[in-house]
Amino acid sequence: MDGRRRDLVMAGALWIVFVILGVLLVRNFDLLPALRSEEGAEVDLAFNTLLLYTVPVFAFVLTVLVYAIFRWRVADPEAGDQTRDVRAFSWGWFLVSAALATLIFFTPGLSGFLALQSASAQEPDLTIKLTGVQWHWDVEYPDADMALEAPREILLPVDRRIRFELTSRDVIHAFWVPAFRLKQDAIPGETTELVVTPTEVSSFEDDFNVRLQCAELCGTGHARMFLRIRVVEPDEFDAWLAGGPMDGMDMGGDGGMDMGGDGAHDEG
Amino acid sequence: MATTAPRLERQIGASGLPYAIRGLIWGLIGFALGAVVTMLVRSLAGSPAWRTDQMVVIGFLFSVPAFVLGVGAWETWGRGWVGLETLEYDPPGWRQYFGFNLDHKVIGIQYLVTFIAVFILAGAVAMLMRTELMDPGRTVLGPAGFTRFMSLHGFLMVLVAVTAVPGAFGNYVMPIMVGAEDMAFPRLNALSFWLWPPAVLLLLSSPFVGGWDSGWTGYPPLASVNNLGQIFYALAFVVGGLSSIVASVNFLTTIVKMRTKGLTWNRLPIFVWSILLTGALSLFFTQSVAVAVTMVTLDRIFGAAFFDPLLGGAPVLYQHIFWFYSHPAVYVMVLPSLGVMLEILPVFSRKPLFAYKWAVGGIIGISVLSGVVWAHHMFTVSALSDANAGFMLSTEAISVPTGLVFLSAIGTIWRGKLWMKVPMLFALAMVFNFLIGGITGVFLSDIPADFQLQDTYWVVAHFHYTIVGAGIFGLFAGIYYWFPKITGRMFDERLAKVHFWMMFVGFNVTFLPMFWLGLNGMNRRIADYQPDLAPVNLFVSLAGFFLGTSFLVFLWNFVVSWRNGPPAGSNPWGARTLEWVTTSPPPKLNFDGEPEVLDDPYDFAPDAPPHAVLRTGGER
Ligand code: HEM
Ligand SMILES: [Cu+2]
Ligand SMILES: [Cu+2]
Repeated sequence: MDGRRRDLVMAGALWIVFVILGVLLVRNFDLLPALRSEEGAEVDLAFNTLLLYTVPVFAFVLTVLVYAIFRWRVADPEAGDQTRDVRAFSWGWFLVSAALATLIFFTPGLSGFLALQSASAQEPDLTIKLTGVQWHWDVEYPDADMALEAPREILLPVDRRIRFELTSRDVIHAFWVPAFRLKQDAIPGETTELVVTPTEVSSFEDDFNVRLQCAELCGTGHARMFLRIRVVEPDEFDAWLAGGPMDGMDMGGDGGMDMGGDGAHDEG
Repeated sequence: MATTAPRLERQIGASGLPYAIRGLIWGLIGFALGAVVTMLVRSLAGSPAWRTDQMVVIGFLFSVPAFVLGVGAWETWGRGWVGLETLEYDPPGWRQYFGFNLDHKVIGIQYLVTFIAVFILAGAVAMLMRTELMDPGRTVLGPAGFTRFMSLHGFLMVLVAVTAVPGAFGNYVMPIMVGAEDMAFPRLNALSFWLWPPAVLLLLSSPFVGGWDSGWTGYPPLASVNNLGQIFYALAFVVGGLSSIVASVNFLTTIVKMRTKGLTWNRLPIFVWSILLTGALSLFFTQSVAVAVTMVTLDRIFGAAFFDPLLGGAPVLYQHIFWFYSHPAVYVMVLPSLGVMLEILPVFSRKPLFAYKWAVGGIIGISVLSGVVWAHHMFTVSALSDANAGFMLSTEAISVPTGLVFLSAIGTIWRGKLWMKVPMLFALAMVFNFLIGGITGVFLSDIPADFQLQDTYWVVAHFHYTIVGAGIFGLFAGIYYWFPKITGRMFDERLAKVHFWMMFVGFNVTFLPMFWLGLNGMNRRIADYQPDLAPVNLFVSLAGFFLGTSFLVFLWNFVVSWRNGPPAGSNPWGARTLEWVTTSPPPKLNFDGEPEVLDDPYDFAPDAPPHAVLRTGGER
């Protein structure tokens, strides 16, 4: 085997090793936190698919770097091979990368996007209005005529499709429940919406990602502009809606946190 | 007015008050003048005379030209406007750097040193931020302080990233690489540098008026209602933007018009290509951001209501105008550094730049596409609107030309002879870092994935991997590569390696965990986080301090070697491009002779003709 061939074969083998290791890694370590919504499954699917696709690409460049550095390092300068281009390789690179870009555009990109679009077009079971205010959320349940100003916590029913109608009274805020995955800005003068179906009974106390976190910089209190969420069985939720705040629920109006003083330490 | 050529008969600046100090004094006087004029006009109009924000804006607009004239533009340029002879600013020694000097090499050094200083300062601010984030709850800055210092850090660093490489090496090295005696418009060149000190000083003084808390992006309505510092931000953006535009006119003209004999387009060093396209991007897009921040300022000081929803304005419009510039700007931050990387890899592999034409095509393709992807920063504004799909497509398309840069990089080192000097270490590290930066960007371009990632630490990690991992690593690659040329001295190789390894390891251990943080519920621009994320944040902070320390090693080496390093000779790396044909540092007009280009810049075959030769009078 001539030197050129041997290098290709050895680097190819290294690439395969890297790919196998990479696939094992992304398959066995779930980088994402627990998922607790139906729609969020599209997000996780997209993320995990992309993660898998990137393994061979990442491994390829890494292989060349590692192989070249160990194989061809010299202590004193000497002329290397003088190849300027390998037509087939460059064209292949170009075409493969274009094909990959097209592929990821259609799936998981467009496919997930369309799936989310059609999910949000379905009739919701429940509408909740959220208004961002520096630095808390005001919450309204229009069906039950209930309005909560700066609550610390809100209840959501499990397995019901909820449409959040978002707006803001001052600057731009954003809706993000990390455990639900979705995100949507709340913009003053506009109403935007986001549809989500919680899939598990859960609460902020058990998982800090079950919280409605403001995700758009809105000033000093931005970090602590979050609202605890408690996802409960539908009948419990209905009872709550009918009867107002239940025992043990903290509806005190300090909601988004007082950012004055040493505000940052009142974590519940 | 008959003659356009400047008449350089008298020298200034060799003694007395340094012109930079005079500039400051004139600038302050200009500021006071503008403020007083504002008060006069206001009282004539029957309003209360004092209104701080208007006075600051008008005062600053007066102070910038006053400052520029004061640092010597008056003598070297302004006198010509009134029919007096112009003078030349070219004193010997340290004084040459402290006035309106027209030599592109001096200007390159002015840019380099200024922006290293800004980089170190903004880095120190990052250390404060990471101290705050070491544990949950309040530490040193508190929420208000954190948000303001975060904004300051981000904006200063953006300025460094946009300016340092083209400013330092685009000015110092590029004209020599094309065999020119200077830039096409030396006065504009000096102007482009001297616009920066007022902008930077303004930003550094912003904490005294409470800073601003809307980040480097300054979205209204927040930016319409917050502290006075927001106006400082806007003014700095406008003046810095003006500098970019002026500089890019110069880059474009120099590259198109002043290439020496034989330097055809297909022999042009890749770094020059990257500066050409960077210049085109700045020229075309910069006004857009100036418009955006000016509109916010008009909203604030004259009640214009462009972005006030209560008065029929549209806050989201700002984001479109802003990102129409600021997305191309992220390529302004990396393209010159990628140019440096592709310049270095062949030299230290002793092998031609692989697939040169594809690499040039890649740089052009990135530049063209960068104008049509801006709304990927706004996927969550109206998350499921159809237009988002189009921006997902254009964004993913940009990965193809970006891939060509990688093609060229890895093709070059394959079967080369890798001489692992410090510039090469940085260039190789860039391939690695930028790979991570690029790949993690693909996740952000994917709309479903972006719903989780947008505005989280995933984004923070991603853009630090691109701007720092490629942009700033490229700055240091360039510094080590051209240090011997610029100073005539060699740096301490051992310290440089210590710097490299500390920076490379420190950078990766600081920013890699941030991807995980973002996925796991840590949103960005926050002074405080959920206690469950504390251990990883503590780790990131400690790693960040380690990274910060690496720059002290650099600084020490930089200063000491500049003063006492051993002489480097004209071509310590055995490179072929024109800057290595002349002496280190080059003479005033760059070459002792007439440079002529004969061959490709990257032909390292032992029997290859030189890329360029100097023809001296006698030989002709
Ligand atoms: C020395 C190590 C550095 C550390 C530890 C560091 C750390 C940070 C942190 C903690 C943030 C806040 C992230 C957020 O909450 O959104 C941030 C923001 C930022 N950093 Fe750095 N940084 C460093 C260097 C740099 C460099 C070298 C650059 C660019 C040249 C840079 C550019 C930025 C930008 C543009 C922002 C965004 C600010 C904004 O959101 O408005 N940083 N950095
Ligand atoms: Cu917020
Ligand atoms: Cu962008």
